Amino acid sequence: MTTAPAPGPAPTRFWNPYFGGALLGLLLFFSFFMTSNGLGASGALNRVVVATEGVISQEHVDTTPYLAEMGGADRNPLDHWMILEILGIILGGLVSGLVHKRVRPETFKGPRISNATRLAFALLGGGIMGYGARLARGCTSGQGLSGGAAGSLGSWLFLAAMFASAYFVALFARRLWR
Amino acid sequence: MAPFHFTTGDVSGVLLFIAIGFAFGYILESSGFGDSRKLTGQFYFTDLAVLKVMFSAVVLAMVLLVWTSTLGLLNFDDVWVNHTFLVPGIMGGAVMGVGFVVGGYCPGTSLVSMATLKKDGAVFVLGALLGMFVFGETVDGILPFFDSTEMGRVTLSDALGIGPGVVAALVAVMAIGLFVGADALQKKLHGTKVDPAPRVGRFTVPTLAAAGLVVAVVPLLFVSQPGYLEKWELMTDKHALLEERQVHIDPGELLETLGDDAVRLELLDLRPEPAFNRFHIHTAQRANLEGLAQARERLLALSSNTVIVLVDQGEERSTEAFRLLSAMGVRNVYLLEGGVDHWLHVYAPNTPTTGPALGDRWAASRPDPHDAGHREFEKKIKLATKPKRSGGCG
Repeated sequence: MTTAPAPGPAPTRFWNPYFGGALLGLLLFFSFFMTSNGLGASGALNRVVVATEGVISQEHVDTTPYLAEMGGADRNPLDHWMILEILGIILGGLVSGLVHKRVRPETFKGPRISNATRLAFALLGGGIMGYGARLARGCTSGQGLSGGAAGSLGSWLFLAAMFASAYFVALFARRLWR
Repeated sequence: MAPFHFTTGDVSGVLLFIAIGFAFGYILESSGFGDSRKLTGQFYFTDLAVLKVMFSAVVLAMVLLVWTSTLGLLNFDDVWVNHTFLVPGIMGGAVMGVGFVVGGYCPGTSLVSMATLKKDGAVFVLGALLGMFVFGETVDGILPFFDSTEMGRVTLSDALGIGPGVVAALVAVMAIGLFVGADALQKKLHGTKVDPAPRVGRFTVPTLAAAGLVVAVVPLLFVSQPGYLEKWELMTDKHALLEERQVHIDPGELLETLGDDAVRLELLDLRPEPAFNRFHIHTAQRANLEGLAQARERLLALSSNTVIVLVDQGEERSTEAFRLLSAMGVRNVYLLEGGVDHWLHVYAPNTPTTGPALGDRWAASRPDPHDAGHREFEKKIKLATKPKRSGGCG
């Protein structure tokens, strides 16, 4: 099941979104069924940060409560299922990219800005996203998909807030993408 | 009974988590979510894949969860439901909306993008790590806000006062409405014709899928979720714990646990008030079955080094409470073998059964281990050294 090619240097065929969504839904259910947890990504990235900080200054991690919870004393922040999962995500993304011949260095951006501008905004946007994900205690995968499927009130409100905010900001960010 | 609890402690668990991640990454990339232009197209109404993928995934998973719970195949109490922190959650979502449009990705999709060597994806990941670093360094300053408006484990079902089956049906209807509306909006704004969908006979596949979804949720409007005792009946793997008395601890072990600093003991005495007031073991709290059924939130939030010991005069109420707590998904639950009767028989055989209500001021409430003499017993308490329960991005 494929849709029409997306604009770009080489034609690529993506899966029909309902097909991809259905598969994702099955995976999400499978994850809950087998492990009692859904999917997640930002938690793992957070743990990578804590682990890095631990290497630089374990004392700092020990004395900062938010960090100590994950990596204080003899806790290993990387000893967590989410770390294994993001390793899988990276691998799976790579393999799918190879299968579909989409693995090549490039920068995706809107037509009106330069690569450098795009990268600067990617860094900024990533920073905002990272901060927001911890504030929300989850990201689109953890709160949106998993919390959404499990019916968490907070997760649905999170989704509403995220979409509303994104649509609003998009009004001012046209230049980046259109 | 599902959910099972694979952990990182053994090979099968490790492989399972990697495999789940692999499938996740593969599906994301194949759906084009490693491309920031496609993702942000959602917010300019040029490409609504984000909405379609996310919502069809959420709806399908939710319907499957409710169905398997209704049929007693899955204990929903044991499924991780993100706790609701009302205001920080909404604020975080709003901030993430900004990040999404400015940066072009979310954490999961940025990893996929980076994996396929996209520079903007890789830089985004770096930015996300930095943003999380900043959060960790500054969260102390906003701690009152960050921890505010905590509502605990609250589902839409709890909040709206309707059954989870009804919630699933409403979500399904909403999703179908959104999909149809989104396509219409996209066509109106950009005139892009959506590719004709594949057909089976007279109907398109999406139409059949939508019909299938409706058929799947209509029955959910009329069924109810199993109660705790029904769930226990289905949890056959746990029955041996009671039948083989694997969770019945000797008074000696309870006494030892009372003095163990590494363990947080939650001693729940299920006897009526007069009996409790007359004598109870040191640190015991009064509890009853109705109260426990409503205290699920608190019990599930207990620290992982907490051991719950249920106490009755004999074992009748504590056995029933054990079934209840197990069905609720509470861990590290044990019951005092022989109850208070046995405890007194061991530590103070001459304590009168009537008399002043001294509560826990009897010597036998906390016998001195040295005076009590050495007691041989089989140790049954095994603290599951599980990592703190977390799910999603917690």
